[in-house]
Amino acid sequence: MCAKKLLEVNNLRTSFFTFSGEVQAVRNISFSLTHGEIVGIVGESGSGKSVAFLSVIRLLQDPGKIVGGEILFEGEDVLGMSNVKLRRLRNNQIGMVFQEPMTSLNPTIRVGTQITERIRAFNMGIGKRQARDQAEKLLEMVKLPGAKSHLESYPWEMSGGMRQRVMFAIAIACNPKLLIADEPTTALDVTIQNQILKLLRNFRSETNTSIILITHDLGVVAETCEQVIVMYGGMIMEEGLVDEIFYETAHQYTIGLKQSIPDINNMGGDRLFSIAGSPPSLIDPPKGCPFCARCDKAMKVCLEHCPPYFQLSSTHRSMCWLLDPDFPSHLAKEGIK
Amino acid sequence: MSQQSFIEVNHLKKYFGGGGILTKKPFIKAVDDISFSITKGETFGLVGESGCGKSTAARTIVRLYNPTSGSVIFDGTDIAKLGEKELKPYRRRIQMIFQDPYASLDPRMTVKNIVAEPLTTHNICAKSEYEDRVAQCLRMVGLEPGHMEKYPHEFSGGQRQRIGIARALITRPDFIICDEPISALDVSIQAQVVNMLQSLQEQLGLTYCFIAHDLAMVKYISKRMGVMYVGQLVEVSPSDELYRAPLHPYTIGLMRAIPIADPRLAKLKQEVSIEGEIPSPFNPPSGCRFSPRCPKCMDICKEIIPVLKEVSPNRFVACHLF
Repeated sequence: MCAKKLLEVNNLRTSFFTFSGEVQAVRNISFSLTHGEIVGIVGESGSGKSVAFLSVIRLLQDPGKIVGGEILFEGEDVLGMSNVKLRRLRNNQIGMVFQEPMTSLNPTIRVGTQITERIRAFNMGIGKRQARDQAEKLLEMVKLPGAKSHLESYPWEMSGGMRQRVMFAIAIACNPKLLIADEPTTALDVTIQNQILKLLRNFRSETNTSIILITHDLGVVAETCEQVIVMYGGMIMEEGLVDEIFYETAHQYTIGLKQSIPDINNMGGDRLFSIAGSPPSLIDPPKGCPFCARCDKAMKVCLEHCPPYFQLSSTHRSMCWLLDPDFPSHLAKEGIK
Repeated sequence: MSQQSFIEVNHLKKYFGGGGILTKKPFIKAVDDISFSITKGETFGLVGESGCGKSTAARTIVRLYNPTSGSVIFDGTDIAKLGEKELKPYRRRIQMIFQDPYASLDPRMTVKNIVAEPLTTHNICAKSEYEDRVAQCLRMVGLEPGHMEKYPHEFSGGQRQRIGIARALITRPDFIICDEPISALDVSIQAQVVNMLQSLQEQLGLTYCFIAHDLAMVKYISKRMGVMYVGQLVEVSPSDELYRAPLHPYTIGLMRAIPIADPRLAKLKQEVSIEGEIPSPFNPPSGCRFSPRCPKCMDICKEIIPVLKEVSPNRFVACHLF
């Protein structure tokens, strides 16, 4: 590990303090990111994947609070930053693309103005005309057809795919070192999704920007990412290179997730594999492994003690008691259920 | 086709808008001349991108919308032209499952009232029987009858979708249109709901029209499927053949755009994507609707709308290439 870390998150814990109690959305997650990497974060709704990355740029809204942990961006402590510094970080270093391009763009302001706003926040000295030219270039970069004419359009005059391109243009306006894309293609059709993902990949290879791609679609991850983090119940279940996650799957949850997708190339008449039950409540999270209530191979220890991470290779780790070197593997088939 | 078709849709059209006294406003041709048939006990899949008219087609078939023209033959009767009164017995036999399990259940009604509502509407049985019927339906979809007095907000998305399915089942229908029943759910829950829909089909002999944009899931659940693009059907074919060898250039592009959950295969995949945007049904391109985005576009494509024709047994394509 000679490369300097771009982002390092240690034991991050985020909770929402609601009327019904403390919702522990993110429970003790740690990971790091180097330059020029595309990392996929996979998880179901409520697994804490979005909250974790909103915490990273400190965009959490009210009942949400970072309870503990450490976030380092290029060695600098994000949690201790003053508002001015934080603003500079968000302006100059990190770009963000959100899921729903309709709600994240302002419908009452022209697209051109929304882009130049970002450019001028990042570069105070730039003139209006210059900013406009730059905005046009950005729109061309994201391959919006008829870039110039769209500077005058309102977001609601555009289709979902076009809006997502505008979001993307705003996010990259400051040449960020890190781009966080939170479900950028979930609201889009497959042909448009394909175009946007291609754009992401090209952007990375041209500028060496690190990209965090939050998604629930394993297909998107397989096609785009090099590294994958699987989240469940506010924790990281498994982390590894994309090949390790797909071909040397270690955690029972990842295995279940993989099997619930119908295989498009292989038509079988049998039933789809499904994970019974539903995700745990995070108000009163299970004491042991968050997945144990739905796991076929759960053992008694899983209910009581949360497993530590077992390192499977220098890049691959997973938290599951089955991976304990002392686990008698001939018993693997018998769960307590 | 040896088997009698159960539902036959012929040249169905649904236009919105238009009219105006002084200036003639243009129509939105949401569904423009589609025809297909479904045999009894079959699952027919309908796929397409947003705005292609698949939901409008579904709603027109169940007569939530009145069709502009065309016919829908359901079990020998053309239900497209029936009046509201004559239609009522058919409404009971045709039910629908909706996409959004949050929006399609009234938050102020208890589960029991939601599921029992069709019984009141159709006057199916005495009030004293409601509870038994509801309990039976809830059990069928894997929910505890004890949940009857709860409200929708007390359930998760997957459970709510089960309530929606129970509501569709209570009239003992023959035909259910599932309009994106799983797209709002998480992957692990999707599989649960799809498996349940399949076992219900086996138990009750239901016929499904399954609408979705998740092509892998549609292929999994349906034997035959149709691909829609801007209000028209471009290809109708048995699902496995459609996936093995798609014929229409749009279908080919669509197949290539599906992300494969297998990194090694994904790397081998050709980097071909359909460029451009889906045209608006307000002002669709002349000729073949796909022609502006089609890599194999010919002169004739820009002028004449291709009709759906059988190119090999059971495979229908609307394209001038064939």
